[in-house]
Amino acid sequence: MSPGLDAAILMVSVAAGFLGALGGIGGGMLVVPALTIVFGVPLHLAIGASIVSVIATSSGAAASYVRDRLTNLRIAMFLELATTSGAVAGALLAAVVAPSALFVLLGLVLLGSAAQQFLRLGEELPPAVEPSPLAVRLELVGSYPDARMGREVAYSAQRIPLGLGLMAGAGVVSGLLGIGSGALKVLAMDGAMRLPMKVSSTTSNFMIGVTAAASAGVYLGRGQIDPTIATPVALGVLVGALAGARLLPHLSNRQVRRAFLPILVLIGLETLARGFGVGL
Amino acid sequence: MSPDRFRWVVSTVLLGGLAVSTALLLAGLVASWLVGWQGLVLGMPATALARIGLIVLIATPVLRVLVSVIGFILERDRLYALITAAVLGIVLASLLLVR
Repeated sequence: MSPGLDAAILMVSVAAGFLGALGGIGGGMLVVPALTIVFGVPLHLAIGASIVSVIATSSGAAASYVRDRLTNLRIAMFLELATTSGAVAGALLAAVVAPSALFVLLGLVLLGSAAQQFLRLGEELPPAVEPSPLAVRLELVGSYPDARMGREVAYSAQRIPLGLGLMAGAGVVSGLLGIGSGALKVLAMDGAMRLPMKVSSTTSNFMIGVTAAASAGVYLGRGQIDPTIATPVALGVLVGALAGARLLPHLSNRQVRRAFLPILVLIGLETLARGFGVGL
Repeated sequence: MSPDRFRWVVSTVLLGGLAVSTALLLAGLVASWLVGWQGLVLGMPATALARIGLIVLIATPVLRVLVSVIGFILERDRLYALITAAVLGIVLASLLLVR
């Protein structure tokens, strides 16, 4: 790998990390299409590099959320049973699934994220319910300090089997595509288990690291984590994500969405087209 | 171990792992610009330095899980010590079994 290409990959990774942090989707989903379509990096090496960058950004973000008591460690550990199993299965599957199918799946995930961004609802809390016996038995209840409301908010997990099933699916997608699949994890916690959004998104971020580590183990064993590609990608995405997280509080949701949605849709379509063998 | 202490330890493990791996990756990348990826630094090729950084990075969340197993044992939460140990088992299996 020449120094020029190295520097170009570094810069594109910074951009992917930056945009990913702004859009709340993580850099992996953007870095895989960038590496394969722009630089012609083989798909599996791009996925291997991306999965490592996902671990870096998750570890950085999770470290601060855990201290703020937003992340629920028990809910995270319980659901990681499903995400890590799914991730290992996904990473093993990735070796036998045709690259064109992976491109199609990645394109669909990108467009799905765009739709989710578009439809994102308000910030109000899910209605409070009595904790179910299963939630109590599994200790999937808790509370977090909400800075905006200025009070402690109690919650308990609902529809636990459905949440666990969706998490296994999120793990498979993560292992297959080398992405954090944070959107799917949030969907499982916020949508299915009815946890408050802040708990869902920070717990999702916390889980992404270990989920990615499970599939990274498989990619590493297969020699698909190439240091000459993974190093600039991991460093670039991390720097971009840190910069994005700094900038985020100063932007309005509308500004972010207006800048981000067209990019997401464009890359989604481009990736889908690649899967169907059509160059755009 | 108090819950706050537990959170502090988990957070510190994540930050520490990230700091060490980032330093190694940066050293590898800068070395690759100076002497090329196959060039020697500290007696090893730049790729080897970067590879160690990548392995530390991948190991960071695994270490976080290991620390959590110990944390739940110290909190005398047998259910979660078991659940966390199972997660550790799955992740270690992926690292050790696939070759």
